[in-house]
Amino acid sequence: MQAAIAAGRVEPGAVKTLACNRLEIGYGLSAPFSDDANGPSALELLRKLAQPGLKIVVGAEAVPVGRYTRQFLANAAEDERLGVGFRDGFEANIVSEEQNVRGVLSKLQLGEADAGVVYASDLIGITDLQRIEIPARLNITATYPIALVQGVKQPEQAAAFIAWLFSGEGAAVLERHGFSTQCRADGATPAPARASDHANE
Amino acid sequence: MPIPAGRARGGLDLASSRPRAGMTLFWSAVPMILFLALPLLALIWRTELAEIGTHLAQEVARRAILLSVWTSATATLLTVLLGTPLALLIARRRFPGRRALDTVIDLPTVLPPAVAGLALLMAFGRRGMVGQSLSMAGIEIAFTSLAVILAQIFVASPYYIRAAIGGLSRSAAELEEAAALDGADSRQIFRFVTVPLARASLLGGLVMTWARALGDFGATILFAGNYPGRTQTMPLAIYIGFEMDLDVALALSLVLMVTAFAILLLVKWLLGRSR
Repeated sequence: MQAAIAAGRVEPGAVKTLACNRLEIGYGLSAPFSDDANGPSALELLRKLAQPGLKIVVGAEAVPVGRYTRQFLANAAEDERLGVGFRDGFEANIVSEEQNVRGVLSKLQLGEADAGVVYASDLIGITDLQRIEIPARLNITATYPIALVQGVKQPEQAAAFIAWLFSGEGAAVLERHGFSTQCRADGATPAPARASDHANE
Repeated sequence: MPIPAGRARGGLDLASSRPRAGMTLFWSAVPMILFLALPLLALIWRTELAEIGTHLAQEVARRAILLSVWTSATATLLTVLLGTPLALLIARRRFPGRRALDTVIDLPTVLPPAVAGLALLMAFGRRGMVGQSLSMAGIEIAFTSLAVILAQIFVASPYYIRAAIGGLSRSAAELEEAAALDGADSRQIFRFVTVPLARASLLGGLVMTWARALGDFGATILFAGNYPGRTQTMPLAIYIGFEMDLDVALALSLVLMVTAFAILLLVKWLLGRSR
């Protein structure tokens, strides 16, 4: 979006936040805690990710999901409830830095890795993976901005599509696919989050 | 490769006796030359040569180069050790299923590398055919440098084996029989007659295998993943680098290209000299 504004194709004031996403941990049957029947809390599950011997895949630092993951780890390092050494333990378990979310998911679905960090929306509809919610205080918010592009051939249709996305129906579709629309009200200028690894999947 | 080189020399002699026909041929070759050379030249043009040292000194580049060198060398060595007997078997023996076996050897070169990576996971992955038992024994291959080497052998060994079959099936029977009459045992015959006669093919195939191993991306990232120092070879670092630091990616690309060019040229020169 920044590039579009810089190129003069989008009015800065026209940019609105369409939806948001957050990180979640996905894990497969190979994870040693996958059969914990008593339903441990998210925090207990998170702590297990730092135990030695686990295989974790994340996104490479060069791609957005990888940057967000490192942000989450930085937040986690300062969290007293997760405990000292969580970040070091977690990082020691990383076996691969994938080039996109798809790479993380396929390593999990094939059972090669025990757990991986992906967007919440990525785990929607994947039945063979379990999820661990990352508490909001440790999580990040990935924002997806939207704006009408100047000088297009069919501005009415484009505006109508944007309006539909902001309708109850549009929001419901986004929510159904794991995106959050709560953040829409939070302000018109979204954080400069790049969602490019979603866009090119 | 060595044979066309010899023919080309003959072709030039022919051309020099008919200069006009020679020029026509030259000009009709130009489009292909340009197409192949331009992207390579563009890569050099786009790289800041003065700063290439700084980029390559970066930790990520240094580790990728080191890993690439030792894994591709190991893969090539193992290919020669394990591939030569196979090539000899196909070149010298007639048995049922020989043609099918011969075809299987070519398969990895026509499959997309990602398929190769997936196939390796299905075989040696944690839930794979063999990998499952290995995993129970405490051995897990995926995400290790060994996985990088296996991926490289899988996609690259056919080049050596194919060339070796060609070289070893050329009729050396008379010379081998003569050596046997002179009292050489089969190991001596192999070492002093068969291999020297097939030298050009073996060396040519070996270099192709090494180059292919050095350049593999798809099979490696699927089977071995991407972790600096452990599984992140030069091609992986280049690809990931696109998003992070284009200059490092370009510097690595240039190193990969120049190294490959130098080695291929050296081998052609050695082969040309030996004939």
